[in-house]
Amino acid sequence: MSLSTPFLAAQNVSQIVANPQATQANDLHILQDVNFTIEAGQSVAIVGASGSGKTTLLGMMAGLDSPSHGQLFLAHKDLTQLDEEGRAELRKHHVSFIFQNFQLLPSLTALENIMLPLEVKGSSDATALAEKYLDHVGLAQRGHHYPNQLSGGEQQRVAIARAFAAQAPILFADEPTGNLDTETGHNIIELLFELNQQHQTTLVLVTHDLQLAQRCQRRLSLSAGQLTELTNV
Amino acid sequence: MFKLAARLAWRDWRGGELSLLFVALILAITSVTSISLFTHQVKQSMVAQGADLIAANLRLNSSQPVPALWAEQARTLSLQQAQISQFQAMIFADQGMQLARIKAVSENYPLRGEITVGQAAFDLGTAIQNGPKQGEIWPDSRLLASLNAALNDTIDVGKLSLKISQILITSPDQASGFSGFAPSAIMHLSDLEATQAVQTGSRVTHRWLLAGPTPALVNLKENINPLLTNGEKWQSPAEGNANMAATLDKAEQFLLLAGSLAVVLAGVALSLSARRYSLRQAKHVALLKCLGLKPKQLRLLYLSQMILLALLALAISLPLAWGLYQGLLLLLVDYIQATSILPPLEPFILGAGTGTLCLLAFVLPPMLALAKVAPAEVLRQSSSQSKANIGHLAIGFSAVIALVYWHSQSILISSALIVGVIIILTLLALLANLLIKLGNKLRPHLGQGAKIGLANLARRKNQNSLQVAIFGLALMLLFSLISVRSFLIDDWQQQLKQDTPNLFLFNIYQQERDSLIDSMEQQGLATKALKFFPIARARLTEPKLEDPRGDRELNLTWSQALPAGNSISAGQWWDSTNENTSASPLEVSVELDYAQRMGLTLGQNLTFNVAGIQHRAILSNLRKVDWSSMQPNFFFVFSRPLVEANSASYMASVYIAPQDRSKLGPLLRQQPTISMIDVDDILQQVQRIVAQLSLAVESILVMVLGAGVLVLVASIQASIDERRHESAILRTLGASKSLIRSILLVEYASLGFVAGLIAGVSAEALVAVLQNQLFQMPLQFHWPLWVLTPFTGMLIIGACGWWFNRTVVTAPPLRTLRQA
Repeated sequence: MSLSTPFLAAQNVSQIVANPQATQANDLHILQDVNFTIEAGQSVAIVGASGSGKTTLLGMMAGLDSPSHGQLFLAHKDLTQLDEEGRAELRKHHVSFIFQNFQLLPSLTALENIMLPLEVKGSSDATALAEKYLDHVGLAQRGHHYPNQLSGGEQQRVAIARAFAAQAPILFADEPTGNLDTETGHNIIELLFELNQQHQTTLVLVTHDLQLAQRCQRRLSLSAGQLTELTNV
Repeated sequence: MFKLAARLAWRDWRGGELSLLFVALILAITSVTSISLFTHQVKQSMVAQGADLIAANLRLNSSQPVPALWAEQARTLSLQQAQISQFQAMIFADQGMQLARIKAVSENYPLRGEITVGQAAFDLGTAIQNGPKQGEIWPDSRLLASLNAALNDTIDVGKLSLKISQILITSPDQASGFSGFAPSAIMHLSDLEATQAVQTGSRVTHRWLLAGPTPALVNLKENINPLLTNGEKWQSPAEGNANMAATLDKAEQFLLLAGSLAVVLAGVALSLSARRYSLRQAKHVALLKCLGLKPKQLRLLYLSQMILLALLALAISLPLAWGLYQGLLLLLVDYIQATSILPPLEPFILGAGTGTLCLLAFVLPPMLALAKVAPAEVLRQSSSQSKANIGHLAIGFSAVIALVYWHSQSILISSALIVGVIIILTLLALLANLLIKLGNKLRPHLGQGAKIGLANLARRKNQNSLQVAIFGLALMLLFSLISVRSFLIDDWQQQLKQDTPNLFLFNIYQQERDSLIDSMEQQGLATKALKFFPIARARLTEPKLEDPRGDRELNLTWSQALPAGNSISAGQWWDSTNENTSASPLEVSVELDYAQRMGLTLGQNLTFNVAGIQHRAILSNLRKVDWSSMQPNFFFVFSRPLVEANSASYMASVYIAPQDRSKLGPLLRQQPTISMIDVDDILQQVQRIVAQLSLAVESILVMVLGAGVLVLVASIQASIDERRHESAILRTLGASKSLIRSILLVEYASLGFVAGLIAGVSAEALVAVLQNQLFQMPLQFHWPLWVLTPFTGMLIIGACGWWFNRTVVTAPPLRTLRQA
């Protein structure tokens, strides 16, 4: 695949879930002919109501799930041409995540959670890098605490540190403030955009918060399985 | 990858995720290895004791002295040798003479075991390693008393005078059959010729004793076998004391059974903890996939983790098992003969193999299946509960069968266990449904806690059925083991009774019975327990038996009542209230095994030759005889006397207390015609072994109980996350802690009651099969099992459930809900 292929894109992507108790006509169309292209370094928000398929689309863009139809491109590679092994290899080098429910491993300390992607990559200075990012997110003193000893905001800070420590060029964030109160959510977003700017990461942010979406360079709206680009107001 | 696996495994271990899995694995390996080591030692000890009973590792009985060429072959193979020539001769002393059985032994005698000698007749004796020197003779107490001789006297054997330098108390290969009743003595083989007691045509038995490594013995045996004549026969240690062998055999079976149960329980615990671990790992796997780990790498990661876990478990379990085994040996040091300093390899291989197989069958399949977790799982709010995989269950079940068979080497034990497991699972499935229906009917009449508790049971029908099955299985195995242990120890305790006869008296005629009692009373010996059995020597003449052993002359008796310790297995015992006159047909009862061996059947007419007179009798019943009871037992018992009362001979059995043993010498002098056999030594040996085995069995039981508790804990842990979540929701809805406690208590107590009830029924069935088929013991109905098990199950599982779920009640609901 050459660099002429898009950096991050969807071409006629559909996702259909079969209804086991009905005929084909009653199948559920979560995504219908979705098309978009995202350039490297852009920040893009995908907005939409709950259940509109935002997270499903995010999962497909990151190669976590496969579409029923269409083509998806990630880091100039056609995801639909890759098997699970290939998609995993791509993720290892190009993708980071921030989840709504943090997804920290409860048996690992904050520092070890940050070290995890670095260890998966085989980094030799995982501890030093993880300590640096823990310091970046203001939790230098909490490195040896376990997730259940941290507040929700602190857990999300650890998740952000983990995402940036991996030094991947693309960051997918799924409702990063969804489980946080307004003030903590605000602080987290500040931190996220600050680090994103520093690292010049391509950011794909899924949210139902239009205010938060406004902070991104582009906004895509998902409704009834259809994706449309919102223009600046 | 191995490094990452090690790091992740260490972190999981530190977080407590792996601890239950690890403990279950350690328990499986430790219990199997230590039980196997112990069983191996018991077997070795049994062989060693058998060797003591023949004074060698191998013995050749012959009517001819061993040819020089054979002895040379044994020397070439570096085997130890000794020879015995045994014959009967008249012994003369200053004050008497007596026909005695003389054993002329060579320098090295005995090759195995010890001789005990004393300074006076019926002394307790001290052990020594070698036989008499040239010019010496050691008469036994019976002979000494008959000759009215004493230590340092000179007695004549044929034409040679020998000095009594010791009194023989026991020799390792002392005869235990009827030939052993005669007074006996041992002398040096090199004196034999000078006695001129053995002439051409004299009846002499020659015994060639051999000891050394088994391969060399086998080699020699194979070389000599083609040269053996009809009268020459090898005797191995396995043909040692039958009573002891039977006891040890039962103990070994029990230990194997206990070991197999420990394997099953540890397997179940492993399977449960592996399932919980894999469920909890699902999110981890999804996250690792998001971070770029490939399915192949994940499989490798979990495989590496399992290898690490196995290596660590082996490193801990094998020395632990060795330590436990040494502890057990230390407890039993007086009873079990240590045969080798070096530990045998097989039990360690068995333990390590069991651990590996357990990991492969119970842990690895769910771990490897984790690689299939969709990475998108990480985006979902709650994890999808994976259903029990039929394939994994099948692998686990096959492994259990393989492990049990590998461990027990017994199709019977394996099939009894597997059938038991299938029965309990079927019963459980049926009863789980019944419980739900019953619970629903009861609910309106119950308090709030019980109402919700029973509703929870009904709601999680399938999950609860599985939990009841696991509880029931663990309880069934534990109850079975406790029952087996109880009836085995009870059976053995029968042999430990204080008044078990240790002295048998023969050649007592009708008219001597009263004078024997008088003599005993004069010596201050208790006569209350003295029992007389009439005896006649007879030969079965019709039908002609194919088995040459059936042509021998046997001792038989007659009795109105069924002898103690005997039970009828076919036919009917004759009516003891009717007077059996010569008009009524003569009936005979035959020992079951003997009848089967000789092909004798119920209702058959048998003809016996008793002192030249033919007696025809109907075989009216078959008897089971407990040969290990140390009571006089007979192959044939008749319904009425076969000889005139005046000419009948009797045997008697009596218990003589240790402090009264010195009175036996004077008693024998007063009753010179009565023969006597002293089985005190054999009895003490059996009693020591029984005490030792009971202790061993109890120690092993503790280990298996540990495995059972582990299963309960694993099963409770398996559902603890779900219960914690439910409890958090209930508390947010306003439920008090006490209400949640009572809900949990009702749930677990009900599960325990049903599991206990089914376990009791199944354990009864399993025990019946084991009792009847494996231990060859009469069936017993254990009614307390039926009453106690439901309540015991309720108590144990209720308490375990409450204890391990206490954090469910105390955990802050908000934190629980946030973590879900």
